[in-house]
Amino acid sequence: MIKLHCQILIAEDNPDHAELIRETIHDSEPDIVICIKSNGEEALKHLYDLQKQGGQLPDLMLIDIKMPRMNGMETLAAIKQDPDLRHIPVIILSTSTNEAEMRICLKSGAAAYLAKPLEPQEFDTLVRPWLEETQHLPG
Amino acid sequence: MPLRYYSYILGILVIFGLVTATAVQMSRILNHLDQLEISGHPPSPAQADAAAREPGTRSETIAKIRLHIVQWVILSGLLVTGVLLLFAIPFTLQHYKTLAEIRRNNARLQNQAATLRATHKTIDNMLKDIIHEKKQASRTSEINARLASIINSADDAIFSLNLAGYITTANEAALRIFGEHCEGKLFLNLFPSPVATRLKSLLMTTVEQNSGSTLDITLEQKKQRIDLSLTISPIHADRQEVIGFSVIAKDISNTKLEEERFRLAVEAAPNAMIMVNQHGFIVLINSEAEAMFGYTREELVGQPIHQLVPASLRSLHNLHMQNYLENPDRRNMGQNNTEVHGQRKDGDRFPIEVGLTPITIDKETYIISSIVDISERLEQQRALRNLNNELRRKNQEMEQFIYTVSHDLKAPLVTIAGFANRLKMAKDLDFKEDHLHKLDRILANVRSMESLLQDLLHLSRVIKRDLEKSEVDTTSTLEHVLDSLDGIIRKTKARISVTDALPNLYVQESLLFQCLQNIISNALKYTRPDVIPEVRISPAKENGYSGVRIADNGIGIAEQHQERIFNVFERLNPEAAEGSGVGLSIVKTIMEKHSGKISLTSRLGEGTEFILLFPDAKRTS
Repeated sequence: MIKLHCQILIAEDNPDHAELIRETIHDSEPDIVICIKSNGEEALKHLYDLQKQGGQLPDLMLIDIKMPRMNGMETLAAIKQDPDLRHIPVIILSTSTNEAEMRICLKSGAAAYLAKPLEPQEFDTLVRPWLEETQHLPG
Repeated sequence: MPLRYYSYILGILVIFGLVTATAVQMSRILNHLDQLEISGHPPSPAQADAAAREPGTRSETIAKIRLHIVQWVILSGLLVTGVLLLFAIPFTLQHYKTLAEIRRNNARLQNQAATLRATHKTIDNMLKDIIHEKKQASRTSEINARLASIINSADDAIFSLNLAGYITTANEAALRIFGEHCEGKLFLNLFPSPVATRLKSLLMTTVEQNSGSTLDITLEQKKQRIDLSLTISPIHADRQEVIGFSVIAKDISNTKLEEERFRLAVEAAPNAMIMVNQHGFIVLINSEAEAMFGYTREELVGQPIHQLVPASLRSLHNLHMQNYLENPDRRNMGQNNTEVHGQRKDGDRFPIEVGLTPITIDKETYIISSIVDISERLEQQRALRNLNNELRRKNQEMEQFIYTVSHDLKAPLVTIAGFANRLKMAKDLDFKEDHLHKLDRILANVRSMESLLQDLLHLSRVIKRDLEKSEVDTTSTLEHVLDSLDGIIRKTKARISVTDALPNLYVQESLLFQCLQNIISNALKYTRPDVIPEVRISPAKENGYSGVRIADNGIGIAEQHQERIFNVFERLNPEAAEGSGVGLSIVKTIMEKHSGKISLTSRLGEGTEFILLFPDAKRTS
């Protein structure tokens, strides 16, 4: 298994969940840089700041669907509308999974729709491939 | 004594004198002749004496005889003439008299002849007239006979009365109805006194006004009720004077009976009923209508129907009524949900529902309106609508509440499960069996709570969402269900069998999937120990419905619990197996959403059979 050196941006209002996600990811990929924002608005602001400063954009985003101020769906839409950001794969996390919601998310351009908590196997099978893909892009 | 008798007597006397004179002359002649005989013959002594005494006398005697003969001839001549005259004069007189008489008679006869001729002419004319009249009369009598037979064979009783009111003629129907001996009786005596009084005044007005009139009466004849419509008309002589009456009594018992039945039916109707003729005038109302509009029958019958319509709507109502009368059919008044209002006598307006039915009696169109005061109903509907809105709002709140609660409860569960898992996996965890067990218990409870919340969310979604129905291949859906339950099927070694082809159903597939999944997974969960679970799936069919039948050999459900199992959180034996208790209520909700039916038969310790029935496509469309 390739060691991944990449950056993940997480938008999650529940700090416990954020911590659990971070720990789950770090359990299998301790080198991944994880940035946590507490809602969609902040996550977007972070992205725009990075763009401005010419910093490196995250390789993947994990977005909770239910957040205050700006929820996951809106954040997803905003990212997919921005030509400079739309290439970033966005995985939606939901506490209460439901089919209709999943369909809407995938239709709006989400890479995946996962139920919380993020299990280690899920990370390996559903999230990792997206990261590997971005890794291979440059080389 | 008439003159002619004197002349007769005179004539007779003259003739008698002439006869006497003639006789005297004759006797003288004879004497003279005797004397001559004596003188010519040897005279007898006496003669000779006489001849001797008269010597010279012979020539004298002859001269005398000649003289007497001449006198006699003259007298005889006179006598004959006298006798002749005596006979002739009266005859002549008589003749003249008779002649005059004849002439007179003649003239009279001629007069009479003229008269007779005239009379003859008249008679001739009369005869012609008579013949004509006779012809006429025979025709008339023929007509009369025909009329008589018509009258006699008429179903209606027909009388003729004289001016005093006595029956002069009666036809057969009259005899049949009023008895054999009614002819010659006083007409009024045929009727009981109250009717007779009315008839009497009617007869009097008929004479006074010289015009006919009609009266409907009811009689008890031979213990049978007879309704008669009497038409009384005056009979005229020379078109002027009333000389009697004709009475036509029409037996209208049947009509009356039908009218009575009709009236009773209308009266007995639970709704207000108003019958209107084609000119919009009320002809019949029942007591419900009286009560509804506050008028009495007498006040309304004969009045235009728009009296019951609020003044502001009358012109519109008239227009609608005219349109309706052009093409009457059976329908409700006020289409397109327009509200129809009535107006009470006190001016109070109230909402009504009016059903219109046209009927035809004797070629006349009438409209029967059945009227219901819907104030209460509208009030109830309004209340119900409000209540419904309230309920919908509450439901939405409830759904939102369930959704939020489930979601918000799930978030901490995720945290709990997450951290518990992390602890369990932590390498530096002080390995104690007891700790591990406790962590497992935490995780197990989290899972059960998660599944409960998941089910609740599911239920709220089923309630909330609209159906997206299509024709679904039940067999293929069932295969997916069995795939999803593969784990538990393997674990329990259950035998699943499908007998006969399952019908295609007109449903939302995802919901059918949930129903089948819930019921089959229940069948695999609630099993009897040491019995290999068996699930038999077969088609079900009922009038207008199709579906599936799912039978198991599980623990069964006691009869007293069969009602409750569809309730939310109802778990009959929470210890026996895992489960949220929401599954069957989701199934029930799905069935209700589809207007389908769910039923079960079960015996404790033997198994349960569920029957799911969905309405066929034709029914739902």
